[in-house]
Amino acid sequence: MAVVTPPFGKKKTIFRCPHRNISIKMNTQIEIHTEPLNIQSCIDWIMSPHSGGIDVFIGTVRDMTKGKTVVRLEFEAYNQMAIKEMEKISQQAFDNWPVQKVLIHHRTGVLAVGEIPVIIAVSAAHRAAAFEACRYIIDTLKETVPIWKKEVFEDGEVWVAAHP
Amino acid sequence: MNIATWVFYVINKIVAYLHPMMMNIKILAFGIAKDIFGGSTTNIQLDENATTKQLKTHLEAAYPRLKQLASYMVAVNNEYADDAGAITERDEIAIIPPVSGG
Repeated sequence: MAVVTPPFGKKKTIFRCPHRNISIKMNTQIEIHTEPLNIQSCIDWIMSPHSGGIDVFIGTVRDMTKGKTVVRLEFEAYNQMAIKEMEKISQQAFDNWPVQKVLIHHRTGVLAVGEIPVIIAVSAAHRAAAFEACRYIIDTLKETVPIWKKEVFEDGEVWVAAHP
Repeated sequence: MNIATWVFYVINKIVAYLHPMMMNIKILAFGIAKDIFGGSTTNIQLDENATTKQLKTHLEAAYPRLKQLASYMVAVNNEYADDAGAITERDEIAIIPPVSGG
């Protein structure tokens, strides 16, 4: 358990897992897993009697990229920094929309077609905030969080977005 | 300033001139940077008080394939770093090629 003092505002207590692939606060749950993600446990955590709606984005491994058959994806994360960047994004969601809870789970390792690399869930009193924050979180995650995917095809492999 | 202090100062200056302090920096690599470095870490020697920009210049000289990337960032202690930021031996340095999570 680490007590983190932000530059302003109240003292916050953040519980951290020793190997830092997890960040738990009262209203935020951010995790990186090597095992398959569990949709139901994400929904169970995000639901609350105060919410009027929850928005869940589930990313899935597609079988084709630009007409080529994808055999599998391989995800790799800079765990500590990825958690930190995801914490920033979730904080931005709280700053910009009246949302109640934010959950981000990301998978690493080898994923077959149809498996789930990412789940984002947001709860809010009204649906507009949940939709917009959820969209913001996944769009920003793809731009800033240090996680990489390699697409493996039948005849080769490529780190996505590495080259212009 | 007495004579002993003065002698000590001059000797220090001469030593510093002959042996500029070098830092041995360990760099973590992820994604395609691992392929470029041929492993998950690489080491380079940098002058003391080097900046992120100098680190990039050294790395690009040693690993020209870095320049072919769409872009890449340097992270210092888990934060994206500016080119002007200073680096010390105690920092955790990582090369962040274009990210592609989600």
